[in-house]
Amino acid sequence: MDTVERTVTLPTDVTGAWELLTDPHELAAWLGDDVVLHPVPGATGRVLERDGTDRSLVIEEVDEGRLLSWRWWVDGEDPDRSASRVAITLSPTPDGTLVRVTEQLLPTADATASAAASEAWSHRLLHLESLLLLAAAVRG
Amino acid sequence: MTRDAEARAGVVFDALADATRRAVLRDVAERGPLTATELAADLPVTRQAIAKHLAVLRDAGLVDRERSGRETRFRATPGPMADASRWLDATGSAWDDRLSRLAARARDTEAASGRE
Repeated sequence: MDTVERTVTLPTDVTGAWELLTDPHELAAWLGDDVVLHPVPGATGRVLERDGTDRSLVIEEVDEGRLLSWRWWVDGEDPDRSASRVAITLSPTPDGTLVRVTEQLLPTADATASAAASEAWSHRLLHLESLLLLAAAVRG
Repeated sequence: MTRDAEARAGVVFDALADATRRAVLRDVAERGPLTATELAADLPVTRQAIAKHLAVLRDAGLVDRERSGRETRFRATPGPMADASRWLDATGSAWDDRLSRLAARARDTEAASGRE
């Protein structure tokens, strides 16, 4: 439930799709107004969005043509308390390339220890349960 | 979202990562306010375990404690859940926007290369 997932199929092959995800000129057309992003693990970057939100990022995984992930947080905030991980995967389809994006709010530093002790759970089920709990709590 | 709300959303997700804890919160939300003893009678865990789960839920702002006499009852407070929901909505909307711009860019690129 701490993860958002979205997909889109692009009418282009995987090479073209990867270009759209990693070329500076292309990134400025969709990810943000002003983007500094080098697809190299550990590289820092930034994304200035249309609404003025300024984010700093650190690239995590890069598997050319398949996966790009980074950790980002809003400038001025404590990365240990409000960072999230974005992971973008590409897979070829008959119509082009399927792009799947997930963004997961990362556990706060002090919650990592307790999270490690938690059992595994299904994201979708947890999301549904949380909505039911919210509805019950609001009714109560 | 404000930075505080986003941080609270993370704490909420962490608190809800445990199935028993979710069961405690569900019970409190549906039948509350309840004492720890009443919760222990309802769920297959010890009162001690209930107390620990309630402490985590309190830290996350998901339950509130009310004392009346010698009894302490817990009730659900939906505010942080709303923050968590808002994070999901805001983040989902942001990606909807980005991906539709990405798709438009891909179409423009394909159209341009088709004309070469």
